[in-house]
Amino acid sequence: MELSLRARLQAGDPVAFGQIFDEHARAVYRYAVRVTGDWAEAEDVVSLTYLEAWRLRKRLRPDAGSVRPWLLGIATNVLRNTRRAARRHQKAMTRLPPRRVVPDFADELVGRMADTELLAAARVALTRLRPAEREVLALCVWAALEHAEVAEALGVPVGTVRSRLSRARRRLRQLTDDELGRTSKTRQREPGCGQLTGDGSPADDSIEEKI
Amino acid sequence: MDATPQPELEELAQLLLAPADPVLPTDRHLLLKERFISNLTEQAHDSRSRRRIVIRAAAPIALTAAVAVVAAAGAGFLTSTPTTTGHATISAARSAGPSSAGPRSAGPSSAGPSSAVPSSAVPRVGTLPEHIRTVAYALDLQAGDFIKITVHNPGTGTPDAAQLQKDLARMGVNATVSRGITHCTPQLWNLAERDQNGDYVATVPRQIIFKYPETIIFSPDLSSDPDPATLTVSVGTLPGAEPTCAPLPSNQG
Repeated sequence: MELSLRARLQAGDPVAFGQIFDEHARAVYRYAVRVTGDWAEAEDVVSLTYLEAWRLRKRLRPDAGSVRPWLLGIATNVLRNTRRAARRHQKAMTRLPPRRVVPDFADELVGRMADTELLAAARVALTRLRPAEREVLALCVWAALEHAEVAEALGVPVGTVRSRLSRARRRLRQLTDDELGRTSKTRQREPGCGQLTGDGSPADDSIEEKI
Repeated sequence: MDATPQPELEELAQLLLAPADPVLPTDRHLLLKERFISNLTEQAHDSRSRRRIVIRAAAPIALTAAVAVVAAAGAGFLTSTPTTTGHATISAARSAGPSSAGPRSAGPSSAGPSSAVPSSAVPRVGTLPEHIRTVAYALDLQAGDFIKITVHNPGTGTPDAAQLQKDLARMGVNATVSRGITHCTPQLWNLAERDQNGDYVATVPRQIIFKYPETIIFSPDLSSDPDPATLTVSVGTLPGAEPTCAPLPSNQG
């Protein structure tokens, strides 16, 4: 009988890990860029997330369903404490290819500059939220996970996700006259919690502990 | 259902803005993936090596236990003598290694440029050779059951691909050695490193764990136009199986 993807991941099948890298690495990268505001660092977060996924593979729940929430939950932990994760995988990280810090095309560079402004603006607002609220917001709005998936990613009840999201919304609403509010209204938006977009601001502790 | 209600989403969209969709370029995706998978393969091999050490350490303990059981039985405390436990463990320890890693009956080299000086193997009693040396290359058993392939600096002889493949088989490595870049795409591409003598050096696990094909290119630069004379070693997937290739990952947003 053919094993499910989750079963193969639990068994440590590198082909299965290659498959989830192909399927989800870009989503993890997108999330990491928004949370860190740093394109190059986001690559490290991707690598660390997958190395952690390999380390924690036995804890993967056997239920069916996409492993994306599981990966984004691991990415969230990596972002909380990037330095610790990097230390744990020090040997592997020293072998990583050099970061690509310079965009390949001028258009991309211009886009990055504009994005950097957005990231900085959203970051200012997000630093006023509690880490737990930010994580829910980031997963919901920027990673487009549904409540149940956010709950799975963070290992908390769905009700907690809803209440944290609600608090974050109220708090952000209070900030609309601040830097984010003034900047954001002229900017384009992305889909969020389930469909919103956002920049990415790291959890408090993740900013402090960046490599 | 679980999705955030639309008005709430719209409000969050008003409050939070995201940069345009950041995309991980395909070349970076492939590089990061390659390093990740290489690391997994290596870790898995390391853990196997550790298990093997445990088996070896367990052998004398098991033997001692078996002897104790025999002694106990002799003293009338037991009626059975499960001495096979110890012997079986010892046997497993001795046979741990390339027990199923491909053909190994190829004879000594007899043709090809590398055979100007026939390959000389230093056999282990009852097992596979630990070293094979020719003018063009050397194969050496390394700790952890790896085989180090050293292709000598061009100028000391051009390796004969067929002969190298045979010698790798004699060392217990199931590989395909060819000239030029293979047309299929393995999951892993690796460039052999250059040592201080200018020799190309690469190390492959003797027993391929898991199903992960790897191709090692003995060339200075993978990105340059492939030289038809480039030596390519493709390591198989399962013991006894032919090396296989896998498709490139599809682009995804």
